[in-house]
Amino acid sequence: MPARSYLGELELMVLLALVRLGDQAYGVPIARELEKYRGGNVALGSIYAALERLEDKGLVLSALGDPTPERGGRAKRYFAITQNGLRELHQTRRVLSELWRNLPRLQGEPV
Amino acid sequence: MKQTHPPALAAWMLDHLTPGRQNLALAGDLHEEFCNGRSAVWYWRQAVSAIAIGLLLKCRYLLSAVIFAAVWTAPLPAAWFYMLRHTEGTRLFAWVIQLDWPYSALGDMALAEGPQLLLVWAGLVVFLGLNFLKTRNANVARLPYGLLTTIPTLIAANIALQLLFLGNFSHATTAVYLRFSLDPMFFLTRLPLFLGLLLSIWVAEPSSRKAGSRAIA
Repeated sequence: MPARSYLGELELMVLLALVRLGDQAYGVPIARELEKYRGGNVALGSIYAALERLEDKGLVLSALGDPTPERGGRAKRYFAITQNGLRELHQTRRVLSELWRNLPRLQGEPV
Repeated sequence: MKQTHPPALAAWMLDHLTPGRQNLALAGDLHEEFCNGRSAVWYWRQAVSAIAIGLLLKCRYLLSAVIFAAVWTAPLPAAWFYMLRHTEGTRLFAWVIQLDWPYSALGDMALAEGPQLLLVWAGLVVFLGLNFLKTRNANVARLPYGLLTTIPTLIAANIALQLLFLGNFSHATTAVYLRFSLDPMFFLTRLPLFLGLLLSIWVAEPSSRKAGSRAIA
């Protein structure tokens, strides 16, 4: 059986952001989505590096939009999750849920 | 008042110094955010981190290329001399030199460069194969450029080898070849081979493919 490559934390979050954003997923909304849930500033360069890795693994597809003046004449690059990407997310959720199950409660935490 | 032009130097650096295939889209995203009210400091921070991340990824690829090229080419000059002494190489060279010009020159060049070229090309293919197994990323269209890059450096290698050492190896033993392949003194003889392989790996790098070729299904 070929070795399975696991998703990194940022890759996982980017994939989840792609699912939430649907067909409007490009760099800016992906970064905003991550900032909303993770907090702090997100470097767009690291998001693109993660997207490039995911694209190389076949978990994400991309396509160029039209260039617009408010972007200095540069086109948006839209990203979408593939079936393999979705499968990878489900698999990761299964593994993580299993691992989280026996996490001890913090002292004073309500049941 | 809303600013519409990001810092020119940062924008230029972003366009020219960011390796990878997403740099235009990234520059567009930063431009868009800047026009939506982000500060020049934010833009600079994002640009510098994007360049740093891109260069770090490039360095990781190049570092593995440097190590592989050094290991692959270390024994090549010694192997070349060994082949020349212990195979039919010497007789073949003598026969080729007796041919009429330009066949003698072409044959001499082919015999001198051919084996080295094949070994360096084999190195390139092995490296790209290993890289593919690791990253699942390949770009066959870059391969011919990588292969062609090795030719001028190998011609230089051959000239250097003949000028420096050929005369001293007429009575060499296997131990001498081994010492030759390990001795730092002979670093110069493998430098052009090393550079040839390194350059070809750099030129054939898969991630330097153009963006925008795939469509969202």
